[in-house]
This record gives sequence, C-alpha cells and structure tokens, in this order.
Amino acid sequence: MNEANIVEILIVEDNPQDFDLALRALRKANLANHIHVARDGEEALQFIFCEGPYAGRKMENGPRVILLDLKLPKVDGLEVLQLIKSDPRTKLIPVVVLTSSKEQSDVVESYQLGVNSYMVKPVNFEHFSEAVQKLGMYWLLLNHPPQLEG
Amino acid sequence: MTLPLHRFRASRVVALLLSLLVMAIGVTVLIGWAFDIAALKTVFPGLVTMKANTALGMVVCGVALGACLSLTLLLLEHFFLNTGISITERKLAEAEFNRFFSLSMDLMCIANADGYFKLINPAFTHTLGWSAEEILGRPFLDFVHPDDRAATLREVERQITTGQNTFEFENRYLHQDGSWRVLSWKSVPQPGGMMYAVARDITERREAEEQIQKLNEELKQRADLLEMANKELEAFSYSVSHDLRAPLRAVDGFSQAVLEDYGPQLPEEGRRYLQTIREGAQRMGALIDDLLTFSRLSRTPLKKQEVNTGKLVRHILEELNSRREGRQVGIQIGDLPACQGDPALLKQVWINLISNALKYTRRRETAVIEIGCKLEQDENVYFVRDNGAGFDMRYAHKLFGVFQRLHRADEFEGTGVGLAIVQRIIHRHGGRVWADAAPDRGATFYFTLKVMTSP
Repeated sequence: MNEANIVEILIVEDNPQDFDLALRALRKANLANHIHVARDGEEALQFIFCEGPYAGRKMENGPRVILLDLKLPKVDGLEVLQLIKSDPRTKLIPVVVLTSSKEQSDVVESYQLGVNSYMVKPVNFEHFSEAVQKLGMYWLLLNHPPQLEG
Repeated sequence: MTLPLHRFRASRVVALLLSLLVMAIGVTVLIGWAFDIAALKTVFPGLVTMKANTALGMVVCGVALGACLSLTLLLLEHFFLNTGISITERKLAEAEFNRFFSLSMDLMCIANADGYFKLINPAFTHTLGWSAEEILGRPFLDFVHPDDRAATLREVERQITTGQNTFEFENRYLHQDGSWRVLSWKSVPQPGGMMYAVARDITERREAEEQIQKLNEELKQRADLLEMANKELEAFSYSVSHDLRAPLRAVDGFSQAVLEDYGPQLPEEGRRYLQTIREGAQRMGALIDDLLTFSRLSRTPLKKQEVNTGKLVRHILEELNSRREGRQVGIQIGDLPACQGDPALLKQVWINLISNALKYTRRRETAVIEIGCKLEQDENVYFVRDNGAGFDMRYAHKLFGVFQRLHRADEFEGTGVGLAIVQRIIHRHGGRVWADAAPDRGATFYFTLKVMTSP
C-alpha cells in the first residue's frame, strides 16, 4: 500500500478560516499528515465513496476519521452523516461533528444518526485547538476500530 | 255520564210541572167520570155526556203531551245550558290562552294560506318594533330578508304539502329600525294551509356565536403568526449559532496565530492590542452564547419532573469548585426540599445564582454564601445569600433585564444575561424571583416554586 495515498483525517469544512485553524491545531499535535479537506457535502461524499473526481481512489485508503461540519453547501452535514452511517462500507469510520451549532436539535439528530462525537467549536482558539487535538488523538491513536470483514 | 246537580234548573222543573198538570187533569177527569162524582160534574159539565173512551183518550193525550213537553224542554234546556257552560269555559280558556299568548317572549302566530298573519302575539311587536296592524297588514314575506325569502317560501310549501312540522328553521325579519332579527321557527301546519308557528329571536345568540367564531379565527391567525415568528426565530438563532460565531473564531484564532508565530517580532504594545482583539472576540462569543441560551429558553418545552434540589445544589458546587480555588469561601447549605421542574433549566438557575454569589464575593477576605429554603404558604422560597458587593436597591428593577448590569465590566465581568435567564426560567415554572441587597453589604436572591404535591 502506498503510504502517500492514505488519508487519515478528512475535514469537511466550507469555511477556509476554520479549516486553517483546525489544520493549525492538528499540526501542533503532530497530526497534520495525510489530511484531506472537502469543501462541501457533495465533495465529501464523492471522496468517501470514491466517486466522481475521486473515482480512482480506493476506499481502504481511508479516511480513518472524519471531522464533519454541519452547515455545508449542497449536501448538509447531517445528510452526509446519514449516508456514511447507513453504508456498510463506511459505517465504522468514526465521524466527529465539529460545528458552531449548539442547537439541541442538531445534537440529538447527530447522535440518532450514529455520530461518534459531537463538538462545538469554541470561539477561544486555545480551547478550539485543545479540542481538535484531543479528538485527533483519541480517534487516531487511542481508538481501535473493529476490523471490517472480507 | 253523570250530570252535575246545578244543571237541574227552573226550566226542567217547569217542564215537569206542566206535564204533571196535564196528566192530573186527565186523571181527574177519568176518576170523575168513572165514579160519577157530583162535585166534579159541576166543575166539568162535559163529564156528564163524555164517553169512557174520550176520557181515556184525554188521559193518554195529557200524558203524551206532558211527556213531549218535558222532553222538548229538557232538550232545549240541555242545549242552552250546555252552550252556556261551554261559553263560560271557553271564555276562561281563552283568557288563559291570551295571557300566555301575551306573556310569551317568543313570537307566536297563526299564518293563513294567503301569506298573511292572521294572529300575532305582542312579542311580535316588541321584537320587530312594528305595530300589530303594520305586521298584519302586509304579507309576512315582506318582512323577510330578501336573501331568505326563497328558503322561507320553500319551507312553507314543504310544510303544507307534506304536513310535516317545521323545526329550527331560521330566517331574518326586518325590524322597524332597519336592522334584521334572526328568528328560529317551529311550526305546525293545519289542513287548508294554515300554520301555527312559534319563533324565537336568536339574534343575540347568533351574534355571540359569530363573535366567538371570529375570535377563534383571530386566535388561530395569531397562533399561526406566532408559530411562524417562532420558526423564523428558530431559523434566525440557528443561523446566529452557526454563522455569527465563525468570524469570531477567525478573529480570535488568527490573532493567537500572529501572537504565536510573530509575537517575538512585535513590540509589547502590538502584542497587547492583539490580546485586546482576542478578548473582544471572546466576549462577543460569550454574549452570543448567552443570548442563544436565553432565546432558546422560551422555545423549548418544559420537561417537568421531581428534582432533588439538595443533590442538585451539591453537584453544582462541586462543578464550580475551580472558582473557589485560592479563596476562603464558607458555604452553608440549609434544608432544600425537592421540587417539581425541568432539571436542566433549574440547574441553570442554581448555576447562575451560585456563580454570581462566588463572583461578587471575590473581593471579600472570607466569602460567606448561604443557600437555603423557607416555606411560605404553598410555596418554597429558595434563596442564595452572599456577603459580596451587593447593589443599590434603587436599580433593583433593572436587575433581571437582558444585558442590564449594575457593575462596571472592569469591576466584575459578565454579559448581563445570567439573571434574565434565571427570571425567565422561574417565570416559566410559574414562580417569582426577586432580590434584596445593599451596596457593599451583600445580596440575597430569592425564587419561588410550588410545593410538590404528592401524586
């Protein structure tokens, strides 16, 4: 397997500033290798399911964890989450909702759809960076996902 | 059928006497002839020459005549007497009927097949304002609202042709003042096209019904509007929650990035400015969060259940432990009875009040915070008392307003939403909230919740 093709973290984020900040936080925790960004829900789905511009990609190359914003152009985060969690090929990929919204309806629906974590992006960068680092650490280093059969 | 005694009147006695007299004469004549009584012969000289069969005939005639006479008189008397009684009784019944007829608040009438009223009661004139002559002088259809005439005619025809009663038929009658009265009819047809009818003026009832319906519609419209506004508000706050915070994260995050990456190259003042920018962004973030919490409070439904207040308060004190670090804080917890409420919201109330107590006692060498409850009538009055900065009661009315603050930001930080949240939660639970304080002498915040009634 070519190491360079492996994507560890997929960040689905339409706000470039938030992406930069998340990247900066991950870099600080030495988690910045093999990160891919999708700028809307559609692109995220194409990437995850290796379709469209990503048809040449292989699904076994990751991502190992998805950081998903909820408010996204075209296909919103909850729809992306639902499609990931209802497909047997992808349902075991940990998905962390990383969003501005504290709205209870979003939290409840995310958990109902099977999200692995729900995190509200704090305004304070130190808190933001701490949270992103902890998430990356947990899902990439500490968590042992079950092996997919077949 | 037995006749009452009073019916034996003079006429009957006269008839009886007359027939008896005729019979007596006949009998006397017969006896006089048979026994050859001289005295009688002087009275009735004819007796001397009268034959026996003549005398007998006379007797029979007398009896027959008497009988006929008395029978005739009896019949006559019976006829006249009965008529006499029935006239009195009818007069009585009529008077009674008339009394009801005039007393009735409902309109009563007899209508003829010619389309005119034959008889109306005074309620007609009271209700419609016309005189009886005016009403009787015109076809009744003239008084019916033009839009109701066809239906009225149909109903009258149906009644006459089928012989079926009318029940709760409604039409509008013209009042003399030009207004319309709604009448509800009940009527019974008679052979020959006559109708006995009663009507009730239901104008007020109908107006009240219409009023209620109108109010209901208005209420529904308002509820729809409210729901729409609520939805808009939800969409708004959703958007605020998502979109308003993102730029703040950028402001704060990139200021921090500059500080981290280029801090050493910046003069001291430049670093301080960046720090101020960050503080501003964070404060705005806190304001948005508080405002969203506050607006969410009125939108989310209450989930009431039994809340163990004592446990809740102890739990919160543990959570707020970090704020007591390095300080002398004495906390006294009194008896805290359980209550009925939304646990998450009541937790917010206690957090806000206890945080405030901790915040405003910060400058005390030894902070004393007392948490307790007293029972007043059917209410639990919970309170949080501190020996902190307090405030001037002159400004107490501003205490619970959104974004209202009684302390300068450089004295005590805050967004001015905490107590507004407390008030809204307590109001939604049907309770009251107030405070008692003096500058520099501490403050006590009270709120009431209904005493829990065992189910």
